[in-house]
Amino acid sequence: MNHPDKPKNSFCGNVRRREFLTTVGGGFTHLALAGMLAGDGFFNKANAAGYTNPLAPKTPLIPAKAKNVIFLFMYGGPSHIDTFDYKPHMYGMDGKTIDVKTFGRGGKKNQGRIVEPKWKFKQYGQSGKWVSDLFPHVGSCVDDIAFMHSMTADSPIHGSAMLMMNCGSIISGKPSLGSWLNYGLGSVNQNLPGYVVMLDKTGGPISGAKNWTSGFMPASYQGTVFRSQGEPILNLKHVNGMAPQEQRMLIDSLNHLNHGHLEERFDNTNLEARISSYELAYKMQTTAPEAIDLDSEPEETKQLYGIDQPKTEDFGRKCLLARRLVERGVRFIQVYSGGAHNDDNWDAHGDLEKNHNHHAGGTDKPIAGLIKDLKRRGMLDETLIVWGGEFGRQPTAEYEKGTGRDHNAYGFTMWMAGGGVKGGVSVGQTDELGSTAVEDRFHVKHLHATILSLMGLDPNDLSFFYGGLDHKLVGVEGADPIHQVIA
Amino acid sequence: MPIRVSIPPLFASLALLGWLMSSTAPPFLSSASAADTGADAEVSLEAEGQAYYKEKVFPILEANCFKCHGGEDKLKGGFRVTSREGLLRGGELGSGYNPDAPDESLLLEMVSYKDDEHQMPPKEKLAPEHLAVLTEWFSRGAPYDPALEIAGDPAEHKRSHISDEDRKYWAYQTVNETPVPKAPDATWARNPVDAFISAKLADSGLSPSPRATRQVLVRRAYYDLIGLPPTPEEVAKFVNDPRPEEEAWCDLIEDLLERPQYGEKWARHWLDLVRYAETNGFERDNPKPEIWRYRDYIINAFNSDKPYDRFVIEQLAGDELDQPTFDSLVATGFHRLMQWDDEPADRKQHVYDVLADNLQVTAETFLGSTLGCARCHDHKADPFTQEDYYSFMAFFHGVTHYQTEGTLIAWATEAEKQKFETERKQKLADLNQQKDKLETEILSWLRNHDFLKEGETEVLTFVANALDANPTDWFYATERPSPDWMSVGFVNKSWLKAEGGFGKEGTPGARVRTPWKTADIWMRAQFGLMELPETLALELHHDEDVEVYLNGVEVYRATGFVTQYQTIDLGPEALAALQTGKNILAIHCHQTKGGQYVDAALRTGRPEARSIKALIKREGGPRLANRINKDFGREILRDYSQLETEIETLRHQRPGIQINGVTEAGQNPEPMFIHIRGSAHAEGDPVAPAFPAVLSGTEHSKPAVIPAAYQGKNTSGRRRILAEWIASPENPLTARVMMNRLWQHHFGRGIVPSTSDFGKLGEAPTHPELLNWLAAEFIRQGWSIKEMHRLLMTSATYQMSSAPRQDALAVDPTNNLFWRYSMRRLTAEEIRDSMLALSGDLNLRQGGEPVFPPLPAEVLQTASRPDQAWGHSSPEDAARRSIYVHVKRSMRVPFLADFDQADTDVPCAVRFATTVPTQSLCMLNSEFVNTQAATFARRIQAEADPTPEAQVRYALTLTLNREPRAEEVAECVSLVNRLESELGMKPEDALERLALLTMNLNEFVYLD
Repeated sequence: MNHPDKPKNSFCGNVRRREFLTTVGGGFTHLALAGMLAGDGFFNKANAAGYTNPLAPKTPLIPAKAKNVIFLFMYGGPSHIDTFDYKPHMYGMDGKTIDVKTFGRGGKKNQGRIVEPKWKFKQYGQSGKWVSDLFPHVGSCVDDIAFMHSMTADSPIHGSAMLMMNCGSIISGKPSLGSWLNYGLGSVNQNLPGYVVMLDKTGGPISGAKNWTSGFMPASYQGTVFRSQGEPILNLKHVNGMAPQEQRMLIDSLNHLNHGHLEERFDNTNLEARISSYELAYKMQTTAPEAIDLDSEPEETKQLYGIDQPKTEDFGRKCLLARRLVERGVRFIQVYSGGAHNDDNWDAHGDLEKNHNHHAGGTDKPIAGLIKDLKRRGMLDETLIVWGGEFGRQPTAEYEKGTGRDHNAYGFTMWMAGGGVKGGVSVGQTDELGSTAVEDRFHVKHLHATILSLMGLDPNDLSFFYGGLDHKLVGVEGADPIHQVIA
Repeated sequence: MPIRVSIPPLFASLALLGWLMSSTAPPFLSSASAADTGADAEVSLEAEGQAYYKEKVFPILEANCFKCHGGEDKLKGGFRVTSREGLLRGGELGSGYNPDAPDESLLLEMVSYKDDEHQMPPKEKLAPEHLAVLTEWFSRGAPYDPALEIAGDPAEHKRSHISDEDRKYWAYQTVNETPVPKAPDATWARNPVDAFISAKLADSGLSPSPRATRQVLVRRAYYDLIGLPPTPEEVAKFVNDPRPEEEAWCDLIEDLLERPQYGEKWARHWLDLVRYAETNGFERDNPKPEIWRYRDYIINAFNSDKPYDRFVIEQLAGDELDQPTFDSLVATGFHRLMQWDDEPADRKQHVYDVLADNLQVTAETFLGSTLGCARCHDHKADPFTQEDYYSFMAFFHGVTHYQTEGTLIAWATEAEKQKFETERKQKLADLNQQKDKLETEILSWLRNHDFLKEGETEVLTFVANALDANPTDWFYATERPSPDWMSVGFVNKSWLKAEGGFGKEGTPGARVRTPWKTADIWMRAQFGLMELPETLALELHHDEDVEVYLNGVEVYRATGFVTQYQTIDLGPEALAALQTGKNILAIHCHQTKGGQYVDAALRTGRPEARSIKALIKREGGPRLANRINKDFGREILRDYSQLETEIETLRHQRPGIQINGVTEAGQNPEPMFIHIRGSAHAEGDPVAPAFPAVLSGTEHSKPAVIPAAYQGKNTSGRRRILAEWIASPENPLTARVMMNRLWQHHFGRGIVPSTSDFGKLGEAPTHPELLNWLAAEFIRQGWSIKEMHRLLMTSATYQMSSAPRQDALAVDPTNNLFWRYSMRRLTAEEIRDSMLALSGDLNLRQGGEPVFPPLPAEVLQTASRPDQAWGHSSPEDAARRSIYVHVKRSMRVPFLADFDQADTDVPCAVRFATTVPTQSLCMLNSEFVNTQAATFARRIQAEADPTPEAQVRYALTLTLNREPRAEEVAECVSLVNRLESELGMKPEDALERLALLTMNLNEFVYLD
């Protein structure tokens, strides 16, 4: 297997995900790298080597602390200094012009007018964590949360920053985090997609499907858009309606004919796989609607998520749905708060107070409800919740007047809860203004490394060979998990 | 502010050596400088230095630096800090220690966080006391304690040169004549392909599989050549052809090669390689206008059997040919297909991201080489250096940077262009006159009815900006003028005149009408006033620093840049500066880096009173509009806005046919540098266009000599020389790589299975001699692709059955030796097109603008602007072949994406063929499939005898391209009966289900 010309650290040197897959799947080892992909069952040419379901469940390669991830994506970029990154010295400085380096949509600036945090902060929990009045309910959960206040990203512009947070690179074409998890771990429930995305009711984020793409990986690993009401998945229901027994008849006949076809092509496991895919599709049609049916949930639970109030109904429903999908084995669920453009998401360039009151108001209770519900059901230990946007916001005003803040990728806050994460801790710091991370600076790739690692995948080993390179979510140089937040 | 770092690797050591050889006493002695002066004082100094390292420095380095720089198995940036040798030799950015000025050493710049590019350790800046220790350590000459040094291994050094050993690799051998082996069974072999294949099979004790039946062969030939199923008549024609099999087969191939659908099928393979898409991607995902002509060019190239060498040259350098043709210019759209971020976080880096993307596609597509991997460091497996990489990139450096729409080239003669401009000018003048007349009438009505208050009427525009229908002409200069340039009396005689909107395309919010690329621009606009207005508003867009003067009085000044037009209410001072008669608005804009743009308008009144439309909206909307129209007795407002639209359209019209291709801006592109670690901000040594050493018989990249004749007035000729080098019979890769692709698409996999990677990380060829022979044959046949189809398809190898054989499966389960034809699933496009063919709706119209089959609302809803996410086509257009479907990066047609259509951002040489339940859901439930099934059912009803059996038989014959077997017919008839009897369905509905069933059969989507 080892080849003197193979680069050190390529997966040929060690047991990596793909090698593992090959051993399990086809067991042929005579070909070099790309040949192994064939063993994964992706390509036509290897039909004789055996079909491998790309989404078959796989054992984690390192001890896993979490089994599922719920990523609450605050699209647009919430202001960290108005939410979780307490900057007491800024109060009273409103309007003061200071020297500070910023880089946002409006370009690079060296000076700005301070907009002091527009909400008061209070201490919560045993840990005494300071949280702003935007998030009183989340405040009550701080002892389960690890805050990372020193996040940095490569771009302060939505388009590329979204790609960075979702796919690990500011250049398009790379697979998203959920794709990597499904590639590495497979899906334990074949009747539901392993990677689900729930969008905001106002629309998708910019770049749409690029945010849940599988990039150069097979489409089997891309995110499936899931709706919280109506038909959850595209094509789940026949376009003009088809009764189950009618469909059953149809599939039975299809199976019969397909088995006849298979007889003379007995070695082609792809044909068999296609036969079973109809059975899976058939089951999915009952499993998926059942998953979104909240009727069986007690009123108390619905209230916990804020489903009983108009303001929090939508996001609350999605959070509760996320829990139900976790219960059904969905590996990675991403829920968007905010969609479309401008103030439909957290992109508070204009009236900061109006924008953040709206978005925090719609999500605070549902998020806290999710944490509490998972906890009381004993699910929080194995479910990792990630909260944050593609970047944070600047301490200074964007325009001459008003409270709008421009983007800030020099320093911002993200937090995680459950799934092997320490509660009640805060790591990293921004400067006194929150303009830039100064202590324990972490990059988005460290966040990704942490998530992969908690899920039982070594971020520096999990790779996919494409275009002459073993691609990794965390980049060729690799990245370590944020150990300070791992329990 | 780019950093240029170009320290020769041993600079520091050499300096040290020079110093050692001088007579002055050294300030320190270290382990690396193994000189022994014998002086006691110096020995103690050495001991002191070592102790300082051990006690003070080592703990800091160990805690903060060792992990990535030599203490563990990582060595980031190629920099080892664990030994003195490592420190001096330095990493990719150069030496860590500067003996001439220790204070300015790179390592100290890094740890002191000099700027964005210099920040180590990345996690957090070191404490001030630790920084002080390192500074002190450097001032002592950076001594190490040998006992604590961790040495590196020699492999850390960069590849010094390309050797003959590197060149021995099979893929770098010139294509040469290969003796054709003797076929073990001369009666089986039909051409040399078979001799190679069967000889190798015999070596493994295997024999080739028998010939497939005519029914199988006809379906195989149709899908492989035109990507569509044969009709029952076409099947019958071949199956019942009384002539000898070979004769009938050759005729069938000729027939298919002559059909225009052949090009549509094979162009798709090519479009996968060049990641063809019709939008830019990223936030706005703007369209690439006219780029579909490139798609048509590829289709036509296959159809006309354009020689492959010409095909290569046209795409890479069609604009640099002696006589560029319409086709050759369209072909250069090749350089414009990539993703492009209109708002990148780092503009300069993104310019090179685009070049890198194109380099990668060029190297992989034409050369089967992953040269693209050598961007940040030498290639880790193949003999390509970073020098090779950037020298190769230099060939493309003259191409004008991509802009939002690409570069539109007008295909028209000078006379046509002139005529067009003259006519446009006249038409514009007419239209403007009409518009002005209506405007006056409407405004006076508004005034008479008290909708226009004093002072806000007339929304007078004194100076119009680029967003207006008629931008003002500015006089401008880019060389510093005399200091009174802003005054009314200044004579701008030598200045140029052009419409406003000066800058670079791609600058946020810009509407560039006149390119401006220098550091400064001074501009003046003149306007006349009959009476003085009461309000004045400046609309200004500037990137970057700007100063604005009104009649010599400074009225506005700002530094930095904005990303959109801003309205600034000018105060009494500005109003006071106005005068009746001639007035001058003068602007100076200064640019440092990144995007640049400046433009302004000067108007009266508030912004909402800027147009009649806005005014009417504010004052009552449709009701007011109705009133006005009624009073005038005609749709005056509609006429007015129609005129506005016509004027705007006319302004945007260009003469001739528009081509989205490339141009260069001069003979001498900007200098090209090696980018250290791939960063455009860390320029290393300069490089010139040169060919990779391993393919040139040289130790280093071989400089390209560009004939003077290749340089045009505005082009460097660089791409042409590269294209000719690639498209040469001497190039060992070009013919092999393309021939291997042709083989891939006929036989299911390439002879080199990793068809875009012939390097060491790819897969080895299973039949290298055959590939060599084929490549030679390809060149011999004048690079004719159609000739190669004939060769491959008339081989006995191609015509083998795909049926499994136990004996062969035991020896070669993956068909590595080609003992049978490999079954394949149809591609996404083939499945969709076949369904349309079955239903009879398939529209075979060729070429032209892309089409928009309807998308489900759920899919549109995933866009950030759902209402603008997709276009609309007529049902006829929506039923065209899949290759004509609009390719939008952020929104893919779910049917095609589900069946493994290639991703649009990265090149795809081998498509996946996955099997997942979402495909089955789509095949059973989707609107598209069910619409086709319904239409197919109506066709069956119309064309088959009205008995269930005849209908079933007809449906199966059409979907499977063969006579159905009795038990198959029985199963289907029974289904129809049960649907009718048990579920009470009407016969026509049951027939629709039957049609759906046949489209879901494995045999329908798999090819034997």
